[in-house]
Amino acid sequence: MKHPSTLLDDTIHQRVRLGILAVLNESRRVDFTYLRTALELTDGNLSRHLQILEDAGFVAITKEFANKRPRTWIAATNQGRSAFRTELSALKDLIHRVESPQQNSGRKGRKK
Amino acid sequence: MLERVTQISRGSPTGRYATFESPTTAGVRRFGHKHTSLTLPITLCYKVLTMIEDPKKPNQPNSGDARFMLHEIERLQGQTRSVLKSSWFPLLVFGVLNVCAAAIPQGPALGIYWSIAGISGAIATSVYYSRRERTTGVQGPFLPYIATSAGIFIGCFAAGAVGGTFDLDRLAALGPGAVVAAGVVVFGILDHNKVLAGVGVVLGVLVAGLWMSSVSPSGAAVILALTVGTIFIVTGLLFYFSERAHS
Repeated sequence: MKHPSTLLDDTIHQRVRLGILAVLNESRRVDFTYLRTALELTDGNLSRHLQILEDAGFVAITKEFANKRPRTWIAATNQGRSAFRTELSALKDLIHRVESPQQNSGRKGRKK
Repeated sequence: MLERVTQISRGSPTGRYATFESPTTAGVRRFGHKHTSLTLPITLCYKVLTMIEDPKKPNQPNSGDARFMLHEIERLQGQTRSVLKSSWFPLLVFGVLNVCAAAIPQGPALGIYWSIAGISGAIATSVYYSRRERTTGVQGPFLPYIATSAGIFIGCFAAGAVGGTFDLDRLAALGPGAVVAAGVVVFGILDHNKVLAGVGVVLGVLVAGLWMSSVSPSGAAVILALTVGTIFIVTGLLFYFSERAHS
């Protein structure tokens, strides 16, 4: 069986990009301002991470006009949602793998 | 002491990027006294445990790193869900419509009332959600909600029509209530809202109780409409004030 860390995707396995996909996975699409506020980022920083995710095909970015004001909407693609789920299960697996043997040995220790 | 050392090594939010402070170092810093007789064994235990906890594998995230990321993901998902979760408006609208329905006698008049009131309520709800989405900047998945709403409308009208056609008075009077109860449970599950799902279960129990009681079907329908309306209004107000308090 492969070590779970081999399933981690380098593009997603980054705090901000994982956060972006976590938000997008819960919604149909979100606007740029919401993401910026939720992740406490600057415009430039968020744009850079979105560009990386868009290049990888994990998010789709659309620009619309509402009351003559531009608004940028970001949505996760099917590929992005699937990659996020894989990343999530790999992280859970990793924690389980590292913690399980220690918890068992801890219980044995306490019995003594 | 060993448990304390384990807690320190596991409690790091940043995993391999963290700089662990050994209990001895912390003790010296906090209390000012230098080496004690316990210094050497504690330091050794600490080193062994942190090695077990954080095996030095280059470019591989450890459990502390993974745990921190999972915690962040859960926090962001919860935050987004709480923005999306806003059930007070439809609860208030359909609560008022249910209370008004109690004044209308069973039969075709009630069917006409619900075909107009139900569609108007659904339109008002969709306008509310589309405005809310524009304001918050978060658009939720709408297909499951539309499918559930359509199921409730079709189920209610089917129960009423079948009950009326085959003279099954209890089905005509209480069948729609059972469909609504099931629909509210589904909405609660979709919203990850235990209170809303609980309201659906309470309505289901109420319908079952009225079904088995000796109350006449028309009387049971009036009791059900008033109770459902009141529960919806009270729950809607609770959600509204809770949302305002959180925002």
